[in-house]
Amino acid sequence: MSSMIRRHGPYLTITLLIVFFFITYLFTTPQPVQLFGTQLVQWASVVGYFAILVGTIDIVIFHLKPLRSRESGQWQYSAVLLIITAIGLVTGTAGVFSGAGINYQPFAWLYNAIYVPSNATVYAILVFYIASASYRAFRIKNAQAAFLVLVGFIIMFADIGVGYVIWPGFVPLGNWINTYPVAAAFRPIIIGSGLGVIITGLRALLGRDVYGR
Amino acid sequence: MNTIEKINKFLSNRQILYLLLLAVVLGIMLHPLGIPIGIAGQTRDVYNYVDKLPQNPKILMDVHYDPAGATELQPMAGAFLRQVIVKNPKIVFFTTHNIGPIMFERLRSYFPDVFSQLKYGDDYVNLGFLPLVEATFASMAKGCQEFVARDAYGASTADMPIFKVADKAADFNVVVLLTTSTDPIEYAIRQWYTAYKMPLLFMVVAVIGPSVQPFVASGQAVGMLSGQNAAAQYELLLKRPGSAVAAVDAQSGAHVLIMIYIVLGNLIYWPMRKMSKKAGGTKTK
Repeated sequence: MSSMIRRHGPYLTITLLIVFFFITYLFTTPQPVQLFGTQLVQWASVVGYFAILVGTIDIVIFHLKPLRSRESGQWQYSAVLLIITAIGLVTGTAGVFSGAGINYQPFAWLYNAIYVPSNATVYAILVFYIASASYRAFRIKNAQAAFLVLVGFIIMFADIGVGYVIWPGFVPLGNWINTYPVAAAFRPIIIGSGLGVIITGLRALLGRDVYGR
Repeated sequence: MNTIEKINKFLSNRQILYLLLLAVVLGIMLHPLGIPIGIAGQTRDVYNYVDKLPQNPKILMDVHYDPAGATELQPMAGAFLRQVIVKNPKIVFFTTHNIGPIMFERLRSYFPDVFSQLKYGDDYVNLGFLPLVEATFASMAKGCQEFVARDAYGASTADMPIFKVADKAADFNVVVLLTTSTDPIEYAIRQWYTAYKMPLLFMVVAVIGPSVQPFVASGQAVGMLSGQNAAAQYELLLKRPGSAVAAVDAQSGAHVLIMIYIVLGNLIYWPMRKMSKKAGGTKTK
């Protein structure tokens, strides 16, 4: 009996909760039921904050191990991560106590002088790889590839001023391609993935997908 | 090695391409060309929609982006705020991205002309970072004030006048979602459009534009601005050219260089293939 509860208890609880969510989401229910549904959703957000806390603790524990054992080629990175985490934690907490919050000067400096330029630079570097890859990938080997290159050029011309200078029609043409063929191509993908989520959810709720066995 | 092979070797050299790209982008940024920008119908639709918003519009705005997306999204946000500011809006800002609070502060510092006209607590509020995007969207639709007891700066939301008029789903005239990811788009459709028919306006980075397009085409969103070019078009429609207009010239240069490389790559691809076939070799890469 206890093994039955252990195995099916969590599924049953989650199933009942999801059914409850569906009822409050799709139907008009009495006020207390609605309020309870709202409370449950709000609790989910509170759980989200705790998940961040658990994640931080977990990453600290994970990186303490290679640091303690001086794992070759890893401990230096772990040390950097732990130092940065500690600095972020200290400056962030100091910001809370000072009343300045995220505008606390040392904390804001960490983000504005280090994180923001680093993050933007890493993303910007992509352009070099895209340029190099497109030179190799856009080879007209057959009719389909020719069509791909043609549409790619139209979209690129529609997105830049030079295209507008060459022929103003590129802008509405690019807009049309995005509005109709692109939307038509993406819609089945979205519908397909939506159906996949429903089926996976149903399988999980019916106990057909049991993980961790 | 014949001429074709020499050209192929030159074009295949990544370092040369990277240097050329850098030179083009830097050169144009230092000496802008002022290339004319055509206005796409989609951008004009967004502009017209915002233009037709009533006086004192209530706006819910999710700043869901990081510095990588800021180049594209911050000018859009700024242009949007500049367009609505004349209507004395009530704006509830929040973010479901962990870097969002920093990005909001940067948005505020980049557009002082907008925020100096808004009184905190009366005209706008910043609710800060709220985790679990879908749960947050669902809760905010039912009441922002009840869901978030304290704003991003620790002040109680209970006494803020803005929530008397901009609190629940039905109060808002438009929800603006600035995002670098498609996930919040789907959550917004489920929790705001499907449940409450809230008008959604998406401002996204160019790379996710095509995957967001079906929601716009189906009428589940009132419009979409995608990428830096759309931001530049929006700035031009406002007659307030900003950072997007300045950057779009360099973007044009980079695109043209890439297109030249693609054309040249194809021009040498066919002779190389013929040569390879004659020599009885394998496929030409």
